[in-house]
Amino acid sequence: MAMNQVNLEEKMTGIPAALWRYKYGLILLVLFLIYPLVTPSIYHLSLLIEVFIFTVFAISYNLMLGYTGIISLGHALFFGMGGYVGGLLMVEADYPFLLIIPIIVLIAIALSVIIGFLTLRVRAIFFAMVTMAIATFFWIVAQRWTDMTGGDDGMGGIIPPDLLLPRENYYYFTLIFMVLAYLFFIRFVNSPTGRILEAIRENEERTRHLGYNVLNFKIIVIVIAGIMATLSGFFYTLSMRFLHPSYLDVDTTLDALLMTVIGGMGTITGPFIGAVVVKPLEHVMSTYTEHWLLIFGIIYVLIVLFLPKGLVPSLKDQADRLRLLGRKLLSKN
Amino acid sequence: MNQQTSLESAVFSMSLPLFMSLSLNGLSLAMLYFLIAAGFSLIFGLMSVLNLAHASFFLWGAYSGLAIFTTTGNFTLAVIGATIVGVIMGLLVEYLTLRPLYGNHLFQILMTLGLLLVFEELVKLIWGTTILGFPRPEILTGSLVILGRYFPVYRLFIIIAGIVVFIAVYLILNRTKIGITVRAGVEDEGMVQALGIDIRKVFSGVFGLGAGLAALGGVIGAPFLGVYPELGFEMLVPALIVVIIGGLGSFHGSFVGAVIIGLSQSFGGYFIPEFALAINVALLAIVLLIKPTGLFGIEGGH
Repeated sequence: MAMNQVNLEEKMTGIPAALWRYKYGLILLVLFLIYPLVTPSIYHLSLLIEVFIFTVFAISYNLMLGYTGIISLGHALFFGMGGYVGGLLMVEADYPFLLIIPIIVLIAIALSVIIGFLTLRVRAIFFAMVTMAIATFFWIVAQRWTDMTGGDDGMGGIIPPDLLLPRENYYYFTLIFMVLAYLFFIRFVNSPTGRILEAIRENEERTRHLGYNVLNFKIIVIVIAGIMATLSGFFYTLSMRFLHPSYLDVDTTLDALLMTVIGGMGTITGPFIGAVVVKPLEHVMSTYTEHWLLIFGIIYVLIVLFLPKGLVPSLKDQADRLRLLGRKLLSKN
Repeated sequence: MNQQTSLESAVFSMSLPLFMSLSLNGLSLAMLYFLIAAGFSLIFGLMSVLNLAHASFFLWGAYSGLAIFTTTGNFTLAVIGATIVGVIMGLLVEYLTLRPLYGNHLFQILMTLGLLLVFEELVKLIWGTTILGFPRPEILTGSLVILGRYFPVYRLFIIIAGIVVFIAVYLILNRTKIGITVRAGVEDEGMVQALGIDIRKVFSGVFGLGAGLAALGGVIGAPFLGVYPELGFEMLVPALIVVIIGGLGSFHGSFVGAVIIGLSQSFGGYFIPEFALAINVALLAIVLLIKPTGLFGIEGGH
């Protein structure tokens, strides 16, 4: 049925079905591509850079929480690790940008595999607890090891390579980063592996009895999520040109969680919508009140309690229901 | 290398009084960890809720205790009042936010994490972000001389209070009918219901009791730790390590785990201050490798 409809649309519009399916995404992409030509505002570019980077961070979280049902309470660990290891290698050891990326990716893989094997083979809940403990551990190290990290004062002077130095170039760089992450994300969740992940989320026991090695699939997911989060953290640090222990603290994990929950868990559009809603709101609200986190926390609690599908998907459901109601009323008249 | 040898010589030359002093220090910390971990572990064992908001009860115990103490000047009243605040908070959290989500572990964790944030931000809204001092009550100030070293009376008070609570709750769990119901609920919730016991009341009771213990820990720990908004989160992480080491759902496990973590924190903090938490994370990794269910954990589980 759905397939026929897609083919029909392809015939009618002359646009390949694959492109038609993501028409809104493509329109958005074109807008983002021409945006820097229209506006000279560095502030808006920086805000969008942040949105792009946090979209990838939220994708990584969504892969675990939304698609596989794994909760990490310390995802900031990877974000901050990418920032700190990448930033320090750049400043202290003068490593080139292109060498740092494989190094932090390898560390991310090692870290996820170790944590995964230690915890997931026992109880899924241990993964949540242990990630929180280890993230806190590194957060304290970043604060206390002042010789190396500058402690709570943070550390500046992390300058991107020459090619990425102009704000516009860095904007396009992070836009490409987000698009690549999205392409991978869409392919991955629609692949046979992605389907098995959803099966694990829905019924882990049954998936195991069907003969799948659940542990291996879970570890694949946390490795991918770890790599994505690590790269986001590194690119975020380069964008800020600054390192701070807060990259490793629980609020950073909460950011990813908030974006995933607001945008809709286990949806393709969720991470982007979440980042687009949360990041600008954070900027606006933090200029008005220092208690904006409280407001965010209350919104979050209410969403979990009353709109478990996520804020945006629930609003969409309401809109659909209204539309259906409208159509019924019209046809009656 | 140099640091290494100086560390070794420090360890070997450790005198008996220093050893005593560090042990007592570690034990007083351990009792606070125990008070927060005990309820946390019992709640998980009974209703499979990983209640991250448990640390908020500790935090609110400290703040409400301080508020009562500064208005009345009566420490006993502050301890009782803070514990009651904790019990009420626990009952409300269970009834309003967790009960609608029973059976959905994922959303329960998401919920309790949100509550942890909300309770901390509420503290900032009401009391501000500065560190507040909690004066020690008259009787508990001063020091005792133990083996030629001064030791604050207050820390002895924490240790004694912790042990008293441990024995009391241990007796309740093992010698009373309510305790048997709770332990049966940890083993097999469905069976308890089949016997005609309303498990939801047991849930609420344990949740309230656990929250009260955490708040009690908060108020008696406050004069020792200081009162500040991040206190809850800072206690949560050692508590997580304690319950994994002791075994999720095990009451005496949380006591033993707390003693291990408290002592390692105290000794580690003295010899390698930067990496006291590193020792605890290493202990956690070792336990997960060798005995993943924890020292007193129940096999299988959720």
